[in-house]
Amino acid sequence: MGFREKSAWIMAVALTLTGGFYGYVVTQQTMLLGHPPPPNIGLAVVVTIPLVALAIFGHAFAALGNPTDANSPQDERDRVIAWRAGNLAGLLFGVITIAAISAYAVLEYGDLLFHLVVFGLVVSQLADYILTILFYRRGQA
Amino acid sequence: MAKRPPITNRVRELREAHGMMSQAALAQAIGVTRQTVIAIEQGKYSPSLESAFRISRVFGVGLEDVFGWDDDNASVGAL
Repeated sequence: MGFREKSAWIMAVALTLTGGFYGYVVTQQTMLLGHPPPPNIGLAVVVTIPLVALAIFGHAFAALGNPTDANSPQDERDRVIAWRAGNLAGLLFGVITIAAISAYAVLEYGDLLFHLVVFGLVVSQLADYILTILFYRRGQA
Repeated sequence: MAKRPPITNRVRELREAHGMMSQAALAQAIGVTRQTVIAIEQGKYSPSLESAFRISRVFGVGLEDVFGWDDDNASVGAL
């Protein structure tokens, strides 16, 4: 497995754990309050710090196994895979954002808009990593 | 399951015929990663025209001595 595929695995796991925790807390607060809670910068910071730490230590550990691979620039296949995965993830983010805007237009509830956009960011980024892994597994985008 | 590209190749055979050249050495010679050479050899990935020419130059043969066209797997709908 190449370094870029390992990188996608590391980020997929890190984002699943931290994004899942964020989603769990927001869901719990929503059930408690009866409506989505207002944006919570403290929670965002609490989630971002372990995400960054997992990314740094995960990549450092992965690079130790093959430093040459980790330092090599993207080749033609890497670029196509990154472009295709990013393109599809971007489309997904667009769909979720349009849904969030539509929900806001109907409900006029800004907190819900905030959480839906954050949800879209996490899910589309996760899709990017999963598609990257899938494309590397099958050899091409 | 993704359909394989309709392009066959003799990269592995040529590599072995050239003093058991390693995948890493070929990758370095043509400017791609070892994983990409593996994907090419397995027929999962069709290299760019530039990389195809670079591969044929490394082995000192023509392009069609390295790559072939698989008519059975070449329907336009499969691309």
